[in-house]
Amino acid sequence: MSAGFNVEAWGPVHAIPTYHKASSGQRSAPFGTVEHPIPLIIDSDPGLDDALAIGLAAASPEIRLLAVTTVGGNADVTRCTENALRLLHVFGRDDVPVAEGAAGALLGSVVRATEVHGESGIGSTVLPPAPNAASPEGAVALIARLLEASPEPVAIAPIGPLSNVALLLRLYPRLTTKISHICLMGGSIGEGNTTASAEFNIIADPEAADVVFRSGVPITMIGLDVTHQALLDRAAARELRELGTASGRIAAELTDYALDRNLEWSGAATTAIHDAVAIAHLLVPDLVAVAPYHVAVDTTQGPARGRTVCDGLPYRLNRDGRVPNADVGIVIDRERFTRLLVDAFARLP
Amino acid sequence: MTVPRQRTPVIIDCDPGHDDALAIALALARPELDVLGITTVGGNATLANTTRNALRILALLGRPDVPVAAGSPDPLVRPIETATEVHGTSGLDGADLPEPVSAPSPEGALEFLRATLDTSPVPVTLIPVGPLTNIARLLRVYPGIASKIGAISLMGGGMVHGNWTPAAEFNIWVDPEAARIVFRSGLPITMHGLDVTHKALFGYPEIERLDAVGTRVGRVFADLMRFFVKYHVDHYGVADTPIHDAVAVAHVALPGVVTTQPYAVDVAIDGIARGMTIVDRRPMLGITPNVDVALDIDRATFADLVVGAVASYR
Repeated sequence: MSAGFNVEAWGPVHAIPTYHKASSGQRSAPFGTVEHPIPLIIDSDPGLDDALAIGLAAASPEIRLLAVTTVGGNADVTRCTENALRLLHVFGRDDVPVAEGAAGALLGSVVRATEVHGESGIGSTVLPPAPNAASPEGAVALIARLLEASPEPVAIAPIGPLSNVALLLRLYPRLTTKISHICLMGGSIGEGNTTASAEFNIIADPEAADVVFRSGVPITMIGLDVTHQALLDRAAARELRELGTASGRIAAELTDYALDRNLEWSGAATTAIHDAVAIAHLLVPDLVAVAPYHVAVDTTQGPARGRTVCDGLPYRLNRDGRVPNADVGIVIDRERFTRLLVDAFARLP
Repeated sequence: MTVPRQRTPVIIDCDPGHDDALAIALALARPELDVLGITTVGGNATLANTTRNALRILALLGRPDVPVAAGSPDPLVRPIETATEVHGTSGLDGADLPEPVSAPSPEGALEFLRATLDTSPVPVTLIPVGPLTNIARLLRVYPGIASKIGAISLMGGGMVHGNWTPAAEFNIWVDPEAARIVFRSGLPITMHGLDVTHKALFGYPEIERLDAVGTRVGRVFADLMRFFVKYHVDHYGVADTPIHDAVAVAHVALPGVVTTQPYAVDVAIDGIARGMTIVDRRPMLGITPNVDVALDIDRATFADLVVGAVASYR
């Protein structure tokens, strides 16, 4: 791991008892290079931080962005779809197909985070209309078709609730071998955010998350433990604005909106760009330190519903007959992350 | 530290247990506390063993006058799960403890608790350091007695992490339904979970101090700790071992030695997070706290307290 990692700083949300830390491990997620870009589908509910994540992917030659599919989450799915189309248009990527997916959770509940992201999902920002419409086949069929057609396995970055990905895994089990990796934003080893124990993307569809974590597909979980270290502040927003481009201005507006909310609620002068960390991990081999954990999802109706229960303790895993099923993000170099984002947006129109 | 005018009456509800043994030794050594009795529960070991162990500890400490009453062998709803891999088959392996010189009270823990609380002129502080079965039973069977409980200083839970499972600490894991009853009771509760007990550590230096006491009591506790520390070395790769249960006693004896914060706490009773204490620390929501959650204790202060207690027995 490169300089800049401080594994001792692990546990920003809550001090993890020493012996509960898994040892930091080798990443299992593939990553793209300019010579061999990683084929990627983003499944998203844009979303303030989703917008920055999509921009990061759209701007990066290390990623071959095959599609953006949408899911109800931060806002209504129809809003999310429109946002995805318009964001890609602003980013100069009308070539990337968009398809709309699940409006709510597998079991039917609809959980929204409009108090964070605004009713529209993208704060008070107004985006210019996009020339394209969403692909009529829908998210799950589009992902299936792209996986089928791809000569090499494709990575999926789900950065919203996992409803679409769970449906894909259940409807097209034979295609799981065409998924190289699921690099998802969701969950936490430590505390939650939507509830004391659960992170938003997981509690929005715990049963779907359960399907994904049990699937056997290689997974990286980018949870709150690491995303709460991936922080932008006013200075970063200013840098984005000073790029002088439409993309830079929009990224700055979205960041400022999130900063305003955070200041109002907690007095914090920073905002976590959760979703962009999942994309960054597929771009930069040594930006995010991960550790192997067994992750299980609480699907009860009790107070821990939607919690990702993470076990990294070898003795206990052995006792319970479990093996790690995910790399879990634990540390990120905040400064490098900020540079990665700003540099990416500097390449966008 | 000045001795209060009136000693705080306490009942220790426990499942000894290595750290329970130190908790009992600490409680009986502190002039601030008036130990009205010890009730036992199935947990670290079977009820028969935890009761016998309580009596053996009292024999060792020369305090067979302290009443012991055996409580529930099983959790409220579930079958018992013991921690013999941590504490040995007896529940207190590793040292040469004397045989009991007293017998448990024939009435049992539930009646002992009710009668003792009922006759106490002042509210009594309960110090449950095992599964919360006896306390939940008491609250459900004799709800009127709650007014005689001054406070509950318990060992159990953790803010985010467990030990027995990744989500659950052992005491809560064994009887999550009982824990939920206690946490939702509205009584003043201080929860000494893994957050604080993992700062109340005994390793080899503390064992040396116990050896250096030079008495039989000192030697027995040093041997007990050698056994307990070895488990932690073998399973977690660290010698520093939390003396969980003694922290709940220290908090009652010396208010202020443990730092706490009020938070809202609930218990998960099923699923993968069964036995997890969910502590809501999100400040922006204005949730009403129901528990003082212990966060911090100074290791050196704690060690001085416990070693000092052991050294006070002749």
